[in-house]
Amino acid sequence: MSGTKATPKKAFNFFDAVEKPTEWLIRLCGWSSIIGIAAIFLFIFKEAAPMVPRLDWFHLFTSSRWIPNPAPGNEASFGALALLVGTFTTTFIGLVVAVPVGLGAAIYISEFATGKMKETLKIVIELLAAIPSIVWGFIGLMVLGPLVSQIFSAEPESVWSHIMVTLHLASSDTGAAQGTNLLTGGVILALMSVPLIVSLSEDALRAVPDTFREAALALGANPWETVRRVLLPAARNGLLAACMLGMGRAVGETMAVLLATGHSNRIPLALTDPVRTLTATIAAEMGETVHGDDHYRVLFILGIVLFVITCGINVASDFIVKGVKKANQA
Amino acid sequence: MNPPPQTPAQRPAPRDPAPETDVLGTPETRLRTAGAPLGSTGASVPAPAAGVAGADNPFAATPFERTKRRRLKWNRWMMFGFCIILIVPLVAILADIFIKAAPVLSLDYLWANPENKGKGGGIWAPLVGTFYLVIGSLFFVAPIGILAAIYLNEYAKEGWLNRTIGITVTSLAGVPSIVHGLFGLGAFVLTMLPAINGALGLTSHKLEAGLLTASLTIAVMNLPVVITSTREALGAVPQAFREACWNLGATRWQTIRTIVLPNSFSGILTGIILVVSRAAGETAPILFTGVTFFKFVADEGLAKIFPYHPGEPFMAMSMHLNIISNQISRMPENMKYGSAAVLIALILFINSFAIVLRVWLRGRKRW
Amino acid sequence: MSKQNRLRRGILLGAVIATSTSLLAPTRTFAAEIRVKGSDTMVQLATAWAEAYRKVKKDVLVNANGGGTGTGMAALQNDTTDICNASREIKKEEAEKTKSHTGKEVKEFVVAYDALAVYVNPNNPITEISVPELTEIWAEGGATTTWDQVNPAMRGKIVLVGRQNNSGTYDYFREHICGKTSDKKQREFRSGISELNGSSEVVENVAKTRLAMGYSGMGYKTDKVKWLKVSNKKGEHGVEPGTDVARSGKYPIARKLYLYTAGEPRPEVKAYIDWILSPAGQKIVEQEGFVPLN
Repeated sequence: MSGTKATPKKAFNFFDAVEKPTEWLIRLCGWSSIIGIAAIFLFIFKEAAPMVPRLDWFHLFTSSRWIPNPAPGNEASFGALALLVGTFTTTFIGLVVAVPVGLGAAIYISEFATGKMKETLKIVIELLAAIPSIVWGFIGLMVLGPLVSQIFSAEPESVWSHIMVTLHLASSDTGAAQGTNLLTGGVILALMSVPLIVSLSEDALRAVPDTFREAALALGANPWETVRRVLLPAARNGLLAACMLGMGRAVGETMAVLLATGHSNRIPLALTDPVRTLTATIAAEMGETVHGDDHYRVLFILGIVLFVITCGINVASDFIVKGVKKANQA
Repeated sequence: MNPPPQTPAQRPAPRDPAPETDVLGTPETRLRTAGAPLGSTGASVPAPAAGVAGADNPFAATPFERTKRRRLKWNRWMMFGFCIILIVPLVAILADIFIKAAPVLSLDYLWANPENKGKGGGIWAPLVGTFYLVIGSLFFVAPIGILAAIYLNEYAKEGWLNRTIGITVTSLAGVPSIVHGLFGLGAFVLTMLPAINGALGLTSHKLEAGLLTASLTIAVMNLPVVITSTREALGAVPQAFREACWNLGATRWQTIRTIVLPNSFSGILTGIILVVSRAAGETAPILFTGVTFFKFVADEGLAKIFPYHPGEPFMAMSMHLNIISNQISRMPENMKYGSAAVLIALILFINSFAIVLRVWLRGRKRW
Repeated sequence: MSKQNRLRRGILLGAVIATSTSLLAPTRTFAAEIRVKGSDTMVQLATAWAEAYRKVKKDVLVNANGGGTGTGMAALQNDTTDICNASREIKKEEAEKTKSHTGKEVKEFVVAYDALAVYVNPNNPITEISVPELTEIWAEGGATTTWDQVNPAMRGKIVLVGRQNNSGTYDYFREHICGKTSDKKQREFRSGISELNGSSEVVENVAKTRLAMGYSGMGYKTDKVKWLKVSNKKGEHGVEPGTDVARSGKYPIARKLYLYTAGEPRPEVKAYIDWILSPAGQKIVEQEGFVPLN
């Protein structure tokens, strides 16, 4: 062949022309989540930093005297013990209700339900998960609160009032002081975390290989025995991780507890005492502070404490799940 | 531990000889009526007779098996009961909210602005504010999230970078919403805004905490959702498709652009819709980054449809519900329930749309 | 162009149009804007003023928000508000901080009087209380925790409902009721008081809770609660909250409501404040349940 054939000119395509810059953009965006989490750390620490050396950390974690706006002439007191106790007790009550209900529902959906029923239940759980937290707070305030107040009220000297006081269900002998309290807050947190626990537990149960189920069936077990003696132990770590993530969600919840717990700075002695959580404190008091004030920085420090707690829970549950993957592959 | 299963010969004679009632008949009743002898296994079995005490039926349920069946039934109902405990009260509560809100709900309610601090009028201003917040946050989160997921799935090799990004995505998803609010306050309101104001030299019409900062905060909060759902969608595209493209000489970006992205469109769309529903419902992140309870909005005209400038505070449904729940005196109960009902209806509608879309698009897949 | 491409370009074009229109939209159709922040006690009053003023001057937009007196003071210092509503007098440190942050002296305007009512549940038989008794109930280390210590007719633990700690109402009640410690320092509130966000929330809570006692502005009374007559000393006749006794000082827990600006207010802000002090503005004060100046 003599000479070179003239190569036809390639048609200009916009997207091909920007391929290199686009790939750089993609690489940059890939780092976005790392940048995001680093930025959160950075900015929260930056705002809290000046207070960190000056704060009495021992007092923060051991005293429940939270007086950020003292009378003129008095010292401010930043004791967050009651707030921490409030956070943990509401989460605890929430988990006590959510874990059995969530695991039970997950087991039912995963092992017992079939076809249409299964699809419907999964869709309903997904829709429940979508309800925003302010609506849950509203429900706690307007619907659940009066209900709790009615159930836990009694005439003085009646039997129910004696039972309530003995079992620490109520502080006073006429029952619950107000409807928005630890119990209401805990139940609302439970209702919020159940969908998360259900979907994650269902994933964990699905991850157990079918060979386990077939082996159990071959040995003559009926479905309940398969669940109880084979699947639950096998999916144990995944289920534990699901509950821990539910707990993480409950710890970080703000608006629902702001409306439903009664916002009272005290260590609860009975189930129907009003309490206050870390998250509600930050939300309620942040708007008032002067930027750069001591109170402002202490609220950021509370934010750090909250962040550390939830990060810890997430990392722990991650490790638990990784342990499971290795065991199932072995 | 269960005792080892007993062979028919070892089995004690059943005390209750009646077999389970079954329309077709259990195997043993069928054999009995047919008159066929049992025992090809060699075990000698006395001739069975229904209803005779002490009759030896090897396939009848032992008391142990009956206990097991009973326990199964009982536990199955208990698990179902848990589902019911979860769902029925919630459906009842939601129904209650909608019933109590019914007197105020109407098209006028949606179109009119709140009057008298929310005691009268409608919820147009908060509703349109929520709409703009959602659009704003999508504007920031969709491109970054989708591109990040493309990077993770298509470009990044397995290694420490990929694992780190995975960890950071999970951590970002677990950060409490109020901490996101604090971050938004520190980063966007207190650092970014003064920088922009300084750079643009604005002194009188300064940009304040408003739609811009709130959208950015919600965008950061929803980044993990978009990344995760897009990753799943991209992962669902079979590797064979990509390999076919590479064999034809396409570059990686060309493959993504022409084959992978269009085929994972449904999954990406589902993720986007999830972001929409989360952005519409959140309150805590926007509390200090730009939302306000009360702001005058024009009652008619173009300014009613575009009432908020990115640099000024805006109203939102979630904040509106937060404040009228218990901070306005003599607030009619109906208005509270009305606001809650509209918010719930909005969220449920968006999520149902996402579910329907997902099911429909999955049905259309051709592989 | 294929149908898909046309659709995509149409969407892109529509998005661009929408974004640019919204950014250029005439949102600031008002000649002037006045930002008002501060006291939750005054927020209903402030909003009523804002709405009425809009009819007087159509081209001035008044944005009224609550958040608590502390929030308003903070906003004044951060220069994010023009007027700060306050249900207590400004503290010395706040005035100094405002001066150092904005460079201007604070100007004070008294716009109304208010009486702080002590609310109890309608089922509570008690009708009177004295300031020393209130001190023992509300202050840190106080001796009174049950109702029968106040009056044997009523039994049960006293459930205390108050305002959040940035509220001017909180500050005022603390200063005038909690008294002083032995070394002349101001006593703080006892712990365990429900700190509610807003004056009406207190009233609603007291209405639903049989054993509750709460404090809030007298303008927030509903017919679901009742208020106690307050006397200066135990045994004296108590005085019910009312307009005359608040102005004359006969009611022990009466206070002034203030507006603060940083420096001399701008012309439109001054016009607004003048309008508030005029009979038209004071009529609204009376309508909202507060005590007008004269």
